[in-house]
Amino acid sequence: MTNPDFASFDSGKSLQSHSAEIVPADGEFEREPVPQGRLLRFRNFIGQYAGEHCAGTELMIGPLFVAAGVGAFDVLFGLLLGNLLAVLSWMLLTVPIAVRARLTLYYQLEKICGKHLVMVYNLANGVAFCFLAGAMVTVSATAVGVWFGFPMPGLNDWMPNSFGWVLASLVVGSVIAIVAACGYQFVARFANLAAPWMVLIFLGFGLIGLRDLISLSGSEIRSAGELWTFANEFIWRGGDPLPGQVKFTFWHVLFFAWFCNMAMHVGMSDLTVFRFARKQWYGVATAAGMYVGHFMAWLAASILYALQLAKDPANTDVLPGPMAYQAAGVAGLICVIVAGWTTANPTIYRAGLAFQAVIPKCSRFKVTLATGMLVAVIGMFPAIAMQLLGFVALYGLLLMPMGAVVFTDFWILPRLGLRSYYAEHRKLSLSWPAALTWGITLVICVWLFLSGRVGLFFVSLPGWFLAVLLYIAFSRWFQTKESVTTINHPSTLP
Amino acid sequence: MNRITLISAVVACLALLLVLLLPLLYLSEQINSQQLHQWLLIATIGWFIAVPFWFRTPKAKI
Repeated sequence: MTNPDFASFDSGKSLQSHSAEIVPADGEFEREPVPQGRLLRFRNFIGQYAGEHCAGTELMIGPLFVAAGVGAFDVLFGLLLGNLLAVLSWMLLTVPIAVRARLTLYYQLEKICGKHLVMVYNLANGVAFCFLAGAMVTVSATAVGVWFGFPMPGLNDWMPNSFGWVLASLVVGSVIAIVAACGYQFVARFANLAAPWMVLIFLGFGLIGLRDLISLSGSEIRSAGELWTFANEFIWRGGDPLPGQVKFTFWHVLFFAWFCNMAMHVGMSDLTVFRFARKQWYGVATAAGMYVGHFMAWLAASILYALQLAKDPANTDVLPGPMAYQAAGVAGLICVIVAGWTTANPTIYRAGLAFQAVIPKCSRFKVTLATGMLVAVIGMFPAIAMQLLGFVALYGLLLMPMGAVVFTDFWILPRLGLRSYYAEHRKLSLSWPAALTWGITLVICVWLFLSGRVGLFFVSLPGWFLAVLLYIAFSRWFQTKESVTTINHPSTLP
Repeated sequence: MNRITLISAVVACLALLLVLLLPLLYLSEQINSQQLHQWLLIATIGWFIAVPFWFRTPKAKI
């Protein structure tokens, strides 16, 4: 299957904006290794990761930590270590394969799993993208709510609660859908230009929130020790979570920070990005994104929410728009809209491409527009945004087994005397070892979670090892069985 | 670097510096909330006007 758009689609970022700098024009090196002359420098990767991890959804995640009753030690050291593990996952799992194979994830999966399974994979990815983009629309709509003053959903609301909210979500979602359908190059460029400003506005949210919180509490801070005491007493106070939220400990924060971009590192989506890296150590560039977006931005957003709770403990609504407006005025509102828009737009575009693979006769414009309208409808429902922590964990879990398949196929199968890229070798359109690995891993992980044996935020870790073992076992079984069949029936040789 | 690019680069850098410094000034109680919001908006407008000219794609010479 030669769909030029897949080159950009499977480089998808869930909580991120698209980078027009690293991923080249559609179709470039889509089905061939990137040549030496087109490799990129370290600074390209630093710029991309630093900018794209400051997304609209960061403004939801930080407050949800506070709502989950996290303590200061838990959140600070959990994020430090969790982000380190995420960076190491990129460096040790994704980049070594990317710089050796220099192929897109899509093409590599096609060689391993066959075209039909890749289509199912893209469809699953597309559906997840729709829900994620819906959360981004929700974030942007909260900024519109500040201007027009209509009632907005609360922390435990799953349904829209006012006509104004429905209208705002639909209008915001429709505008994003139309822009995405027209092509996202303009927004990708705009996102790159806005990134430095957005990072500093996020930092400003934290500093401004801290000042207001200090004033409100009547505290005096003269040393780092006093700041630490203040953080424990007024920002991340620990204790019980707010009603309807899961209690977060150090381990929850660590695993959440590690796995929130699981689709990109363990799930191998970023093979497409790092196939352009000159050196393997360029994976360390992901630290720029982790510690800017998933450390500084989350902490800053959580300070804003702590300030809101300090002002009115009954106001538990997680609404980025009003929080940003309180802190930074109109500039804060612009930041919320830009952060939501620049990340929702490429997400809708990629979801549209995924669906177009299923109905290739329909034009990309129509499919993307329809996808965008679906996202606008999803954005009306605050359930995804308000339960974003759980949804992000589910999203990572969904795609993780295929990352384990890629890892095992590349490193382990040849060492066991088994053939890598078996679907390509046998000209199969569906590889049963990969399909069974994906399905069985997901079923067992969901069962472990639903039965209460392993929490949602932790289940992906044993799930990855399970997927590796299953893929080895099924590959050995199928490859042995088919080689016997081939010997018995030489006419079946490809 | 032509004059427009140079001016826009200076404006964009100043705007970004303001976005960095204003919260710090507010934290140290040098400015109040109203001044903070006003100047943040000015810096934001400055950034978005200047930066496209700074990083514009040069036209190909025929």
